[in-house]
Amino acid sequence: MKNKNLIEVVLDNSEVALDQLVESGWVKDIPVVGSAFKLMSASKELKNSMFNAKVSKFIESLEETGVTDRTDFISFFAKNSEESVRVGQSVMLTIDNMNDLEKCSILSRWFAAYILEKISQQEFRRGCDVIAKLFADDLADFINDDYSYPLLELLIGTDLVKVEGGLIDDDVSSIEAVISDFGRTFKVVLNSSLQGS
Amino acid sequence: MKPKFWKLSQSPDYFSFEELSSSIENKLVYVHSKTKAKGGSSETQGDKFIGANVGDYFYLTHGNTGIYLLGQLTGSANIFSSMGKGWVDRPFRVIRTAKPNSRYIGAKKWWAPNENSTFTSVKGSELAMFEEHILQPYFNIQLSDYGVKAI
Repeated sequence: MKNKNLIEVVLDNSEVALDQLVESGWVKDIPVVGSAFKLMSASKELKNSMFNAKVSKFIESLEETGVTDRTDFISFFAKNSEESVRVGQSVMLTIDNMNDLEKCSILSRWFAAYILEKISQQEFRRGCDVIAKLFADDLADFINDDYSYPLLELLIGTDLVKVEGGLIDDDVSSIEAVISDFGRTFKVVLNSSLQGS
Repeated sequence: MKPKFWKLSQSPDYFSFEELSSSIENKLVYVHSKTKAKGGSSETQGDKFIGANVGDYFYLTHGNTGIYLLGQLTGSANIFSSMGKGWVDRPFRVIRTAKPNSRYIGAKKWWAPNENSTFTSVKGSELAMFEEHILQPYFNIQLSDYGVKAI
C-alpha cells in the first residue's frame, strides 16, 4: 500500500518535477540520463509512464543528496567523457530494471558516492547490479544494519556476502555467510549518505 | 507433502574448501556423471543427481570432514560444467548453513556422511532417523515444526 501511494504521488508530481528539473539544468550534464530526461520531458506518453516515475524519483533523490550543488558534479562529467557515458548507461539500465521506487533513492545515493569518488567506477557498476536484483526490503535492512544472520544466508550468491569457514583444528568444520569487502563498502557508503541527508 | 532429502558429497579428493565455498557462492553443486551406483542399485549416483527433482532437498558434505549446508535444487542439470568433461552441475538455493560441527559419528547409512557415497536419497521409512542424526543436530530443524510427519 505504501508503495502504491508513493507511485501515485510520484506520478502525480512527476510532470511538474520534470519541468522544474529540466529548467534547473544540471540533469542534462549527466550523459545518457540527461538525454533520456530531455526526451521524457518532450513526450506526453512518457510523462505518464512508470519509467518516468522511476527516473524522476532518482533525479529528485539525487538532488536531495546535495551532490548536484557541488562543483565536483559538473567537473566530473566534463573530464571523464567515456567513463561518464558508461556510468550514465548503468544508471539508466538499472532504473529500467527497478521494481520498487525506494530503490531509486538508494541508487541516487550510490551515484552521489561515485561522483564524490568514495567508490570506483567498477564498484559503482557492481552496486547497480546489486540494487537492481535484490528485494528492496532486504536491501534496506542490509544497509540499515537491521537484520539477523538468516538475511546473510539469503544473500549468498550476491556480491554483498561471501562464504567463509572450513576445517578448524582438523576437527570442527564450520561455514558461514559473512559480509564481503564490497558488501562492507556498500553498506558503509550508503549508510553514511543516509545519516548525512 | 513429504520432502525428499539427499546426501550430496563434494569430496575433498576433488574439491578444496575454497572450491567448495566458491560452489556455494555460485549456488551450484557438482557431481560427476559417471559416479557409480551404490550396492545393487540399477541407477548410478550420477544419473540420480541428473534426475533428481527440482525442489528436492540435499545436505552438502565435504566427504566426512564436515556438513556445510542444507540446500534445495532449483534447476535442472547442466552438462557443460566449468568443472570439465563428465561433470554435471545443478543450481540450488541455500535453506540453512550448518552449525559448526565435528566429524559425524552417528549411524552408518548410505545417506550418512561416514558412508562412501556421493548422491544418495533418504528413504521415507528412514526420515525420522535422518531428522535425528542430521536435520536436528546440524540444522536445528524439527520436521513437525513445518507440518511434516517424519514417521
